[in-house]
Amino acid sequence: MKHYQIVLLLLLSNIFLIPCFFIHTSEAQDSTDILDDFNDYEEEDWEIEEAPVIHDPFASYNRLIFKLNDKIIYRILKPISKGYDLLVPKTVQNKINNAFSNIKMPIRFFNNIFQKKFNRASTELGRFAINTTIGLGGLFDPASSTFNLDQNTEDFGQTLGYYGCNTGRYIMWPFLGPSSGRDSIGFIVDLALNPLTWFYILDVEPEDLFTGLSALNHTNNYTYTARDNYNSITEQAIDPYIALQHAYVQNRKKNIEE
Amino acid sequence: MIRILLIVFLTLIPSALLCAETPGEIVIEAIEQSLEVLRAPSLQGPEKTAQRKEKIREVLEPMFNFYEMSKRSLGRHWKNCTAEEREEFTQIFTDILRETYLDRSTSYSGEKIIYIRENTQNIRSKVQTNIITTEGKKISVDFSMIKNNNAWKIYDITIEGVSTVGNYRSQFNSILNESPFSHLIKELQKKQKEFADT
Repeated sequence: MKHYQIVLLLLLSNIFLIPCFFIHTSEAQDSTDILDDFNDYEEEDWEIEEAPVIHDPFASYNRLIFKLNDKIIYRILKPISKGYDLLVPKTVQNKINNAFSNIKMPIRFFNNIFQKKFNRASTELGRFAINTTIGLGGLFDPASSTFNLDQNTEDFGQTLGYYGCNTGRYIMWPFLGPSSGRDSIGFIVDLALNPLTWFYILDVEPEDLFTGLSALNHTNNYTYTARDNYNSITEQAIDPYIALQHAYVQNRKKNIEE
Repeated sequence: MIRILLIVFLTLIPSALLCAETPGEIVIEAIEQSLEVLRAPSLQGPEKTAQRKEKIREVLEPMFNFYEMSKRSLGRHWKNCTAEEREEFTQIFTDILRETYLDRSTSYSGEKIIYIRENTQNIRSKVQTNIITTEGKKISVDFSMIKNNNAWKIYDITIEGVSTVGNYRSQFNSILNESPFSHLIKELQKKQKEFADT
C-alpha cells in the first residue's frame, strides 16, 4: 500500500513538472545531423543550420499524451496557478523557489561530482552553507548576490549525457511532460538524490507536512517558472507538439554542453 | 583657426563613434530603449497597452530582418518554393513573428539586459546577453545578426539554447514532410487569424 502511495504521490506531485525543463535539465547529442543543401543561398558563409532529427518512434502515442497534458494544464493547473498568483506575490514565490532549490542541493552536488566538476560541487556546498544560515533556510540567496557564487544546475540526465549517453527516444510522459530515454533514467536517479523523496520514504512526521510541502513546491514551480516557459513555446507555435519537442531537446543540449 | 578646427573635430567624434557601433551595441541600445518604454510612468496601466505596443513597435520593428527569418525558417524547403509562394509565406510569417514579439515584450517590465560578448565574422554576428527579469531570474538570450545595406539586423533569437527560427524550422519541416506547401500556408493563416482575434 505504501509503495503504491509513493508512486502515485510522485506522479501526482510531479504533475506540475510538465514544462519545467528550463529549471533543471539538459541535452541530447544523438540528433543525426543532416546537412541541408543550402546552395540556394547567395552568401558563402551561410551558417549551416539544419532541423535536428529527433528520434521519435512513438510519435502518435506521444502526440496523444501531449494533448492530454495540455488539457490538464488548461483545465487544472492554469486555474490553480491563477489563484496562487492572487494569494502569493511574485517576490514571495521567488523566495519559495529559492528554498526548495536549496533543499535539492544534493542533486546538483552529486551530479557535479559525477561529472568531475569539483569546483562547481564545492561551490554548491558553499552556497548551501551560506544560504541555509545567512539566507534563512534558503529563502534568500546571499551566496549569489553577495558572494558571487552562482548555482550550477546539474542532473543525472546531464551526467549521462556527459559520458556520451545518447538522448535515446523522445518520450512524452503523462503528467511529467517531455523527456527521453536517457532523461527518464536521470529523473529516477535524481529522485533518489532528492531529500524530499527521503522525507517521505522515511516517514518523517507529520505526513501532511510532506504532502503540503510537495504541493507547494510544484504549485510554486509551475506558477513561477514553468507556466511562462510552456506558454511562450506553445502559444506562438504552428505545431505545438513539435515546438515543445524541439525546445526540450535543444535546451537539454545546451545544458549538457555547459 | 585652431579653435574652429577643434570644434569641427569634437563634433565629428560622436558621429564617427556612431558609425563604428558594433552589433552588440546596436541590439543592447534597442532593447534598453524598449525597456524604457515599458518603464515609462506615462505609459503604465492596462488602458495604455495599445499605446505602449505602438511605441515598442517603433523601436523594435526596424531591428528585425523578417525576410532572413522567413528564409531560414523554411530552410531547405525555401529552394523548392516559387517566388509567389515565398512572398506569401514571408508576408504571413512576418505578421506572426511581429505579433509574438510585440506581445511578449509588452508583458515584461523592469527587466535588465546584460551584455556578455559578441562574435562578429564578416556580415554575421552573434551577440550573447543575459536578461534579468523583475523576479531576478537570469535568462540567456543570444541575438544572431546580419548586416545588410550597412545596417545590422536581428535574424534569430536564441533563448536558453532554443533558437526561435530553429524551432519554427522543425515545425515547418515536420509539416512539409507530410503535406504540400499550401497546407502550411493554411496553418499559418489560421495562426494569423488567432492573433488578430485576441
